[in-house]
Amino acid sequence: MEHLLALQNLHVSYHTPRGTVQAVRGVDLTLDSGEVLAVVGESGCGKSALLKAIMRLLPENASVTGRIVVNGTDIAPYPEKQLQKLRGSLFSMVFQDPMTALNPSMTIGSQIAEAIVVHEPKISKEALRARVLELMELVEIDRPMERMKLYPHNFSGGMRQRAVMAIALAARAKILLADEPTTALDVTIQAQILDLLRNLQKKLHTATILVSHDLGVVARAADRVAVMYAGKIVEIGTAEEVYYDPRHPYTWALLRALPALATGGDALYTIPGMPPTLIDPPKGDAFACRNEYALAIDYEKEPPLLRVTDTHYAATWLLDPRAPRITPPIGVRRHGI
Amino acid sequence: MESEILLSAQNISHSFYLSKTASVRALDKLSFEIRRGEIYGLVGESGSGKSTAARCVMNLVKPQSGHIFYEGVDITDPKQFGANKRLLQTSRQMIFQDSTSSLNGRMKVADIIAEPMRIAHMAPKRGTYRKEAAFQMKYVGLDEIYLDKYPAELSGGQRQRVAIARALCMEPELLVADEPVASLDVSIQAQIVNLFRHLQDEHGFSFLFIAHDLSMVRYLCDRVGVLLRGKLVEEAPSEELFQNPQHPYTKALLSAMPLPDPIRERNRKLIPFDADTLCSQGVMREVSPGHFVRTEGGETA
Repeated sequence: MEHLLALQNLHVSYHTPRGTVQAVRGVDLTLDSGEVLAVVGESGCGKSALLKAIMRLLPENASVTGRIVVNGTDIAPYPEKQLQKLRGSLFSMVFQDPMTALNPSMTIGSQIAEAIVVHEPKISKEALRARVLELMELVEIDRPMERMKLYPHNFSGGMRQRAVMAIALAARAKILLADEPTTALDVTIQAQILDLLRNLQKKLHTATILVSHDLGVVARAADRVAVMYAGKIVEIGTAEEVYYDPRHPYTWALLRALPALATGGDALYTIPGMPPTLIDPPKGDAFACRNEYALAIDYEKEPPLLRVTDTHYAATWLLDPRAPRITPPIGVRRHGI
Repeated sequence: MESEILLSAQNISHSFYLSKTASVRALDKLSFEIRRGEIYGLVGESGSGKSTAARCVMNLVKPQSGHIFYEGVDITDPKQFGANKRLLQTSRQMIFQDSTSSLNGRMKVADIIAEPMRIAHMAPKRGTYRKEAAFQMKYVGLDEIYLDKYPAELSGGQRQRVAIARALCMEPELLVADEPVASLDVSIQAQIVNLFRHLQDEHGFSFLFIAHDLSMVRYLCDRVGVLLRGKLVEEAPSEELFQNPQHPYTKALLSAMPLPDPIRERNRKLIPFDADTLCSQGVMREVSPGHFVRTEGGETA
């Protein structure tokens, strides 16, 4: 089956005076239309670099190698001119802070209209207006007729993020890349935006990559979850598999650090040490020195993604038949249904 | 379980004037108490007045009416404030959300941590200010090598710990933490929250903890107040509030609390609410010991 988007052995490196930072180190991913894939990891694990590599929004000192295959065509070697046509129509991005993503001196309506006109320069005035209203309704902004004349500062944080999503969808993008879209928002608004993401995916059949640092937040929206550490995917599976049957020690650690899963008066679990610098990544498994379950081989040889089920893979030697059996310290209990 | 009341806010109100005609009522006759050795949480959406309440407690904003008593001193009265200035300025400390803007980027970490002691002319217990700073750094889990670094050279979690060390060096009674972990990674959040717990258990610190992450509030706080448009609508011991929410606004807030459980999350409906109809007048009534809910006059809960 052909995937909507497939990343093959994607590497992103930043060339800095202090050395080359390997932000993404060989990521393989597939994304089908109509699914939400969540990418979770600590800051600096390369999750934002991954999104920016797909959009090709990286600074000049960055280099991308590997294949980015969209509907069977590799777009990695595309020159900027061709990429420009893809941005917005094939994929578009929603950023963390909606205030900085919007122009404070333009009305919301004209900012949405601007995005439409870029892709359809010959659109008539009436059609443009109708499309703006349609988009605002799509992202569930009430009373769009009045609100399109307002400025971003008149909007609340949640409304701004909705407007940003309307702009992102203006040219009927097939892939939506959302970089921590709810981090700047309140709990109630956060849940609403996550629900909106789900509704959009059902209505428009878009595919979404949702990046977040919090496993608690993405549970509401994600079909599949990929956990990233030090530029690599260490575990990937359906949401059910990753939450109810996590296999990688790093996923365990992330889950144990959540206060929602803390039991009674115990101190929260903290991951010892710091993530490695990616200028000179350590030999073997990058997580080994912070991992209480590390095996001797982890310091020598990097584990490949080993199969758990056809949809669930984890990069840990613990899955090797020769490894000792370890009962995971955590696993979310399945509740009803 | 009665214990001594450290801080008591009584009917504080504050409005911000946007223009000659428009104003925003940030606090509306808000009353709450913080007991000694307790972590009191304030939750609510943005704009509900949480931060304004914290700033009033710290004397950063002067409430337009009402009184705040700290150790029996009315801090809203300039005369009493002046007479007890030293007590008030050393025993209350605040930790802000954004560590980047709350630390001076041109000062080294050692100087940042020791600055409040220098200002208050406190004799360093451990000989020099530098040693004092090093001690506090170790206490919050930072290595001494960071003493001579600038804030920009530290990560977000490290910077937040410098801000906490700066607050701790005064050995305060009350720490006011306004969204102290909101901008941090999950595992760093856990470290900071564990540190707060430790400070409470071992040193009897009292906290006013403001956060929008409800699972964090549930884990950390002893008592929680729910703010809506500058008014408390519900107040209860933490577990009681989360297990048995009474006010519709509290129920709506809790329904949005993210849980790391995909199947349950997908099947859970958000409870919608309309703040205009909910912002009830009414009074706070005790429905069970320590659990207060704002109910319309006359009605019972």
